[in-house]
Amino acid sequence: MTPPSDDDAFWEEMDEARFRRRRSRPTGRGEGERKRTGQSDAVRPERARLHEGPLSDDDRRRPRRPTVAAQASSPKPAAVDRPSHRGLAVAAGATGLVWLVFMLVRMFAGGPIGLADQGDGRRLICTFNVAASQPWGTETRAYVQPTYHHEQWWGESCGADGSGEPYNSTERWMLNGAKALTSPLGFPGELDLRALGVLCAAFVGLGVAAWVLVLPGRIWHRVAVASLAGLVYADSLIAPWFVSAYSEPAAMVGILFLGPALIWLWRTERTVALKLVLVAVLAMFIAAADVRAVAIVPAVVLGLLWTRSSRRDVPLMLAERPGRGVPRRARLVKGAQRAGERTVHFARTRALALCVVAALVFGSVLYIHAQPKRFAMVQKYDAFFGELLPNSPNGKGDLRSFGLPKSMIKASGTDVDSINAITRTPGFDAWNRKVSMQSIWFVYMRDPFRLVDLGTRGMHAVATGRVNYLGNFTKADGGAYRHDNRVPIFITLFRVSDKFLPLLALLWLLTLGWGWGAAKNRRFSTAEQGVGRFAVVLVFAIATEFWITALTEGSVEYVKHMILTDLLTAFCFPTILALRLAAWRHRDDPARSIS
Amino acid sequence: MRAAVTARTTGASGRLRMYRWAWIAAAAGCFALLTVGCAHRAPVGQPTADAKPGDCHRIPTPEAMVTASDNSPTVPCTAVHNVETYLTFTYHGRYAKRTSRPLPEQLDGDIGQDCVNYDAIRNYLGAGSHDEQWGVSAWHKYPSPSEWAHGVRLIRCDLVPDSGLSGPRITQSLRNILQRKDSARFRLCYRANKPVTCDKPHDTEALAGSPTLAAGQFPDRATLERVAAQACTTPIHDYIAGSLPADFVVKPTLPTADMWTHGDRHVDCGFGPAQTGRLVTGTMRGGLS
Repeated sequence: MTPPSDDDAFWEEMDEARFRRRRSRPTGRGEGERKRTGQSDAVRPERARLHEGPLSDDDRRRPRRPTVAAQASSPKPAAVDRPSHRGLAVAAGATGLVWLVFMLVRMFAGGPIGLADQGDGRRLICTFNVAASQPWGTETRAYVQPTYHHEQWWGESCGADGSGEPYNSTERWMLNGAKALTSPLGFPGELDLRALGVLCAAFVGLGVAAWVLVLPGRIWHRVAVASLAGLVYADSLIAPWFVSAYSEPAAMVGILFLGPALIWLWRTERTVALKLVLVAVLAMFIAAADVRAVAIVPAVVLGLLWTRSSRRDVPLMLAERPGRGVPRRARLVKGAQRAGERTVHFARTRALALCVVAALVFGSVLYIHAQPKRFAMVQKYDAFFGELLPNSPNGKGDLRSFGLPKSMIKASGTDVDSINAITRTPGFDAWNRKVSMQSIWFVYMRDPFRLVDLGTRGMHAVATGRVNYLGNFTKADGGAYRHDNRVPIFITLFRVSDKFLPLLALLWLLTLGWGWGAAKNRRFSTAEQGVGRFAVVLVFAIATEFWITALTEGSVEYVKHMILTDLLTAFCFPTILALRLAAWRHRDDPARSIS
Repeated sequence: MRAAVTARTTGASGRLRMYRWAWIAAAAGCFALLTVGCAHRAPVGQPTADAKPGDCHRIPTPEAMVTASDNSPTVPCTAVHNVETYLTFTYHGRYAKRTSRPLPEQLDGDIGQDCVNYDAIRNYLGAGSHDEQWGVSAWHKYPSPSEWAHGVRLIRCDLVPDSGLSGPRITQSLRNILQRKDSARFRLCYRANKPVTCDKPHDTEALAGSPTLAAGQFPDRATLERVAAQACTTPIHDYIAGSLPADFVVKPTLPTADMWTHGDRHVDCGFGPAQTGRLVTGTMRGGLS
C-alpha cells in the first residue's frame, strides 16, 4: 500500500469520525421501506457501511469493502515497497535525463532522422509563413527536409488542400516552440524541424520521469516500466515522427503524459478537482492535435468516471429489494426505482467528474465542427471509392443500393483529385447527396463479414507500422526512401505479428484481462488498481482509435493513419510489465488475488 | 478535527471549491476555443477580380502552384517570376449560380481545356505562321471561396514556363516573346526525335504550319523525302529570312502509310545540321528584334 497523501489522511479521519459516531448512537432515516435490522454495528464492525443508516438484509448478504479500521489491521507492505520521496525524485530525474539524452543521440547521432512530407505538413507549416528550403521538383516523399525559410503564403494556398479553410491543431503550439528554439540551437532557417525533435526528446524525458513518479512499487520496478515506455518513443516506429511537419507528434506527446495523469487520478481514494482537470486538459490537447485523435475521448471519459465517489457524505439510500411474494409488476417498479436511485447517487457522487466530462465532450465536438468541410468530403470519398467499392464483393450492387448509377464503378479506387474521379463529372453532386458516412457504416453493420474484412486489413496496417513510401533521412544522409532502423524493437515485433495477426489480438486481450483483474483486486493498492484501470482504458482507446480510423477513410493511407493505434498498442508492453510486477509483489499475500 | 473540517470548507480554498465546477467548465471551454479560434488566414495580394492579361506573379512554392486560386501580388515582369496572365474570362458554366464555390475538381471538369486556347496563346506570344511554340504551359486559377461567395466568377488563364513545376526563373514578359531574339527558350526543337526547347542542344529546329503533299498513291521513301523537302523549302526560307547554310539540311517529319491512307498527308517541316550527331543551340529564326 502506498503512503497516504494529505488528502487521504484527511478523509480517513472523516471516515473514522463517522464510524465512531455510528457506534455511539443508532442512526437511520425515516420509516417505511427502509428496514431496521435490529443489530448494532458494534457487533460486526467490518460490515459497517460508510454512510448513515442501518444495514438491510440485502447488505448483510453482500460482502462490503473493508472499513478503515479493518484495513488498518491488514498486513502492511514492507518499507522497501514505499520509496522515500527524495529517492523517488532522484530516480525520476535521473531516468528522465537518461531518456532525454538517449532520444537526442538516437535521433541525431549519425545524421538526423525524421519523416518526409507527403503534403499534409504544409497546412500547418504555412501558418508560420515559412516554406521548405528545397529546389522545385525535389521528391518530397523521398527525403526529410527539416529546414524552412521565410516565405509569404497568399490566399487559400495556406489551409486545407482544395479549399484553403483554416486548419487547427495543437501541434501548432509545439511548432511555435520549435520555431523559438531554432536559432538558439544553431539550426538554419526560420523554422527547423530538428528543433521540434529536440523539444519532443525533452518531453519524452519529462514523460518518463512522470511515469516513475506515479507508478506503484519499488524504485527499480518503476524505472523498468517507465523505461519501457520511453523505449516505445525511441523506437523506429515512433521517433521519426518527431522531426516532421505532421499533426501527430502533439497527440503522441500528450498520450505519454495522459497515462501518468490517469494513474495519479486513481492513486487516491478521493477524486480531486485538479487531477480531473489535468486529465481533461491533456485529453483535449491530444484530441485537438488531429481529428482522428478525438477517438481517445470516449476512453478518457471512461477513465474520468471510473473514480471513487468524491462525496462519501452522500448516502446511498436504496429502496428495499422486493421479496419473492411481491407481484411481478411491483418488482419491476421497485427495480426501476432502485436503478434510478443508483443513477442519482452516481451522479451526485461524481458531479465533479461529470462536469469535466461534459466540458471535454463539448470541446471535442467543437473541434470536430471546426475542421475544414473539405476534409469531411475527402474522408467520405475515400471511405466509399477507396475502401467500400474496391473491396466489395459486388460493387455495382453497392452502387444500386445507394441509388447510384453502375457507371460510377469506374471511379472505384480513385482519389478525390484523380483524373477519372467522379468529382470531375456532373454525377458528383448526386453522389454527395445520396451518400453519407452513416450510410456507409450501415453497409458494414448489415454485412458483418465486410466489417471483419475491413478490420483484418486494419490490423495488417497496424502491424505494418512504418510508412514505407516516406523516407526517414535527409538527402545528405542517405538514399531516397531510406528507412531508419536504429531502434527496431517494437517495429520488429509488429512485423512478426503481421505474419500472424492473432498475436496482436492476444496482446490486446492480455492487457485487458490482466488490467481488469488488477483493477478489481482488493489486495492491490489504489495505485496498483490504478494501473489496472489504465490497462482497461488503454485497450478501450485502442479499440475506438482503430475502428474510427478504419471506418472513416479505410484503406487510403491506412498505415499512416493507424500510427496512433500503433502507439497505443506499443503501450501495452510497459502496461503489462507494470501489472505483472504488481502481481509479483503480492505473490506471498495470504489471500491470492484474482488476476 | 472539527476545526480542521471547518478550515477546509471556508476561506480561500473553500471559495475555490465552491466555484470549481464553473472554472473547470470554463477552462475546458476556453481550451477548446483557443484551439478553434487561433485560425490562421493568409493575406490577399491581388484579388482575382483585378486580374488582367500581362500581369506577372511569383508563386513561390509547388504547393501554391497547384492551389485552385492565386492571390499573390503582381510583380514587374522584369523581376523573377513564373506566371504571366494571358487571358481572363467570366465563368458561366454549370456551377456559376452556386453561392459557395464548387470543388476545384468540379470546375476542372466543367472548364476543361478552356484555358488552353491555342489561338489566344499564339497571339499573346506573338507567334507567326511558322513559329512553333514550346516550353510554355497553360494553367487556370479560380476565384477563392470567399471571392466566389462575393460573386466573383473571373477565371484567370496563365502561361507558365516549362511544366510549371520548375519554379520562378524568368525575368521577361511572354507577350510577343516569339518576335524577340531571346525567344529560343520558347521554341520547339528536337534532339534525337525528342522535343526540347531550342536553347538546349538540338539537331532539328521545327516549324509550324505543315504543308500538305499532293494526293495520290503513297510514294516510296526516297520520293517521299524529296517531295517533302521541296514542300518545306519555301517555309524554311521564310522562317530564317534567307537560304539555309550549306551545312544545314531540311529534316521533314514524313507521314506514314497509315496516315496517308486516312488522308493525312501533312509534313512537319524542320531543319538542322547535315552532319549526323552535330548539335546546335539557339534559334535561326530571322527577322527578330
